[in-house]
Amino acid sequence: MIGPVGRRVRPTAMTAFLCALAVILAVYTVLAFGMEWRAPAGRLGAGFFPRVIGVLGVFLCCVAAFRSLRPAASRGDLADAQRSASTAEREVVPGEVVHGEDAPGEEVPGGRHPWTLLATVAGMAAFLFLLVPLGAFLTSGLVMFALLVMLGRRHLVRNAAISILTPVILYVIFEVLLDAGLPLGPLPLP
Amino acid sequence: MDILSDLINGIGNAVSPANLLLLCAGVFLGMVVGVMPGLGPSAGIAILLPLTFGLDPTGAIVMLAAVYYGAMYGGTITSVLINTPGESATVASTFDGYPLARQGRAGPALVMAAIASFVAGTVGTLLLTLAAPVTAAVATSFGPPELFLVVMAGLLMLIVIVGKNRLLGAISALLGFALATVGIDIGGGEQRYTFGSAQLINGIDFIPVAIGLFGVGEVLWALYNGGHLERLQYIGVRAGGGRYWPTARDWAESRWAMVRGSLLGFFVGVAPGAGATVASVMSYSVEKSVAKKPEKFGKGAMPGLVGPEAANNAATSGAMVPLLTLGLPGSAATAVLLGGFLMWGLQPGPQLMDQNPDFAWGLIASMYLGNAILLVLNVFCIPAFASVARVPFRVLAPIIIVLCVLGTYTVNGSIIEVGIMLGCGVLGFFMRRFGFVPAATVVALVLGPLAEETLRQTLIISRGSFTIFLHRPASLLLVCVVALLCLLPLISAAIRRRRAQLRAERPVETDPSKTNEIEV
Repeated sequence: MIGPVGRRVRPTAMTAFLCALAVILAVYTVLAFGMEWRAPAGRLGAGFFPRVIGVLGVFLCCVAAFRSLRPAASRGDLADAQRSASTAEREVVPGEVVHGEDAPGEEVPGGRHPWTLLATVAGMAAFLFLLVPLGAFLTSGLVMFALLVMLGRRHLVRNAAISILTPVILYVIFEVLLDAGLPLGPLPLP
Repeated sequence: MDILSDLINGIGNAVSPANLLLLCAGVFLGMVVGVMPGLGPSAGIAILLPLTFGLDPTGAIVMLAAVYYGAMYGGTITSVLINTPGESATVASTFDGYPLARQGRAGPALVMAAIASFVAGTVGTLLLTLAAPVTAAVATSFGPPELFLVVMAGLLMLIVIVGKNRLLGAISALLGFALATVGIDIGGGEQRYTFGSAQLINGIDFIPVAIGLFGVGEVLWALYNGGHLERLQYIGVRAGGGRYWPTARDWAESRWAMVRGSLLGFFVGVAPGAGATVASVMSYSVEKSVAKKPEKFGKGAMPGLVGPEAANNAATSGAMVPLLTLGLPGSAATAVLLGGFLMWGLQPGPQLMDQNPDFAWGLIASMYLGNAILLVLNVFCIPAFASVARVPFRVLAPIIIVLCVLGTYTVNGSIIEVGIMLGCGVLGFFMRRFGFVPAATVVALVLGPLAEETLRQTLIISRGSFTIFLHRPASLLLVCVVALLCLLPLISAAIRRRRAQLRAERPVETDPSKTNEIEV
C-alpha cells in the first residue's frame, strides 16, 4: 500500500482498531443526521450534539488511522504519544520493571499472551450468558475455577477452594448484607 | 470564622460511629487496592462502588474518598518492596524507594513515605479547606456559558496534559460524549440510540463503563502482558527493631522535600488533567535539581522518595477542589467519584457547599481523620499490607472479574449492563493497547449531559448566537483558556523546535572551550 508520503506502508493492528471505531462512529453519525438538529422553537434539537460528535469522531479516527499507516521510522510521534498516554494514567501491570521516567512505556518482559486474553474473554462471555439461568453463585464458581485452572494448573485443590470460597463471600456481602438481589438460579439458596 | 465553624460542623458529622466505621473501612480497602499491582484508585473505586448501596450518601462518599487517598498510601509499599508501583502515581517512588529497600532500609523508607504522605495529605486538606469556599464563591457567579466552557476546558486539559497523545485523547473523549448521548434527550424527550431497548431509555450508566474500562480492562491488559506468570522479587520488612525506624539524618534530609512536595502536589493536583502522576514526577525532578548531592538520586536518596510521595498525596486533595466546587473531575479516579456523587443525588458544583454543607464539610473533615488513620495503619501494619502484594495475579484476576460482574449486576439488576461492562472491558484493553485515554472517556461520559444541557441553555439565553461566549467577561476569559489549550500543542512544538535548533548550534560554539579544558 502506498502511504501518505509516497512510501510503502502496511496497516497495523492500530489501523484496524481505528477503522472499526470510524465505522461505528460513521453509523452513529448517519443516525444523528436522521434526528432534528433544531427543535421547532428554535432550540437545539436532539441531533445537534450527536452530529458534532459523530463528524468530529469520524474525522479524527480517519486522521489517526492515516497516521498509523506511516512507516515505522516516521511514526515516532504517534508511537511516543501511544506510550506516554498508555502509561500516564494507567496502573502499572504486575511484574513490570520500572527504571525511570520513560520506563512505563517499555515492553513487558513476560511477552504477549493473546490466547490467555482470548480465553479470559470467552470466560467472561460465558459468565454473561450463564449468570441468569445458573445463578450468581454457581456461575461465579464455575467461571472462577475455569479461569484459575487456565492461569495456573498445578494447584487444583487450592483453585477449587478459592472457587467455592469467593462466591460464598461475595454472596454473603451482596445478597445477605446489602440485599442487592443477585440471580439465584436453580440452587435453593437462602 | 465561617470556614472554622463549617469545619467543626463537618467534623461533628464525620465522627458519627457509622461514618467513622466507613472511613476506617475505606482507608483499609484503599490500602489493599493500592497494594495490589494492576489495580489503582479508579478501578478500586469503580469496583467498590456497588458495595456502598444501602449506605447514606455522606457515609458512602466518605468511604469512596478514603479508598481514593488510601490507595495512594498503599501504592508505595509495592513500589519500595518489589519495584512495582501499585498505580502510576507511585512510579516515581520506585526510583529511590527500591534502592533503599535493597540496601536493607525498607523499614525507614516506608515509614518516611508514610509520614510524608500524612503531612502532605493534611497540608493538602488544609489548603482544600481554604481554597474550596473561595473557588465555590467565584464559581457561583458562573452561568450556563461559563459552565459549558469549564467542562470543555477541563476535558481539553485532560487531553493536552495527559501525555502527548492529543489525537487519541480527543477520540477517547468523543467516545465518552457519544456514549453520553444514548437515552432520552432531556431537551426534547426524543429517544436516541436506544434501538427500541427499554433498558437503554435512561442512558448508559457510568458505573458499568467505569468498571469495564478500569477494572476488567486492567485485568485483560495485565494478562495479555503475562502478569499471571510473574514471580515478583519481594524484599521482606518487619515492624519494630532499630532498623525499622528512620534516623535523624533521614528526617533532616527529607523535611524540606516533604514541604515542597506538599505544596507542589496540591497546586498541580488542582489543575484538571495533571493529577498525582504528573505531580510526583515533577517533585522528583525538583528534588533532584535542588539536592546538594544529585548523584545519589536513583541510588537510594531519601528526599527522592519523600518528595514524590508527598506530592502524589497532596495532589489527591488538590483534585478535590475542582471536583467539589466546579463539578469537574480532573482524573479517572475523581471522575468515578463524581459519578458516585451523582448516583447519590449530589450535584457537585458551586452550589454544593451552600446546599449540602453537611456533606461537603463532612467529606473534607473526614479527610483529616482518614490521613491520621492511614498514618497509624502505615507505620504499624506495613508487613500485613505487604503480604497482600504476595497474592499472585493469577489468583487475583478471576476474583476481580467475578467481583466486577456481580458488582455491576447489583447496580440495577440488569444483565444488559453486565454486557456493557464486559464490552467496555474489552474496549478498555484495546484503549490501553493502542494508547487511548480511558480517563477522558469516563470524564466525557459523566460530563456529557452537563455539557449538552449548558450549551442548550446558553443558546436559549443568546437566542442561538454563539457570540454570547465573547460578551461576558468570565466566559471571555474561559474562551481564552480554551484557545490557549488548543494552541498549546503548537506552542510546545515551536519551543521544542527552537530548543533543538539551539542544541544543534551549540556544539560548534562549545567545542573550542572543550578543547581548551582538555588542553589545560
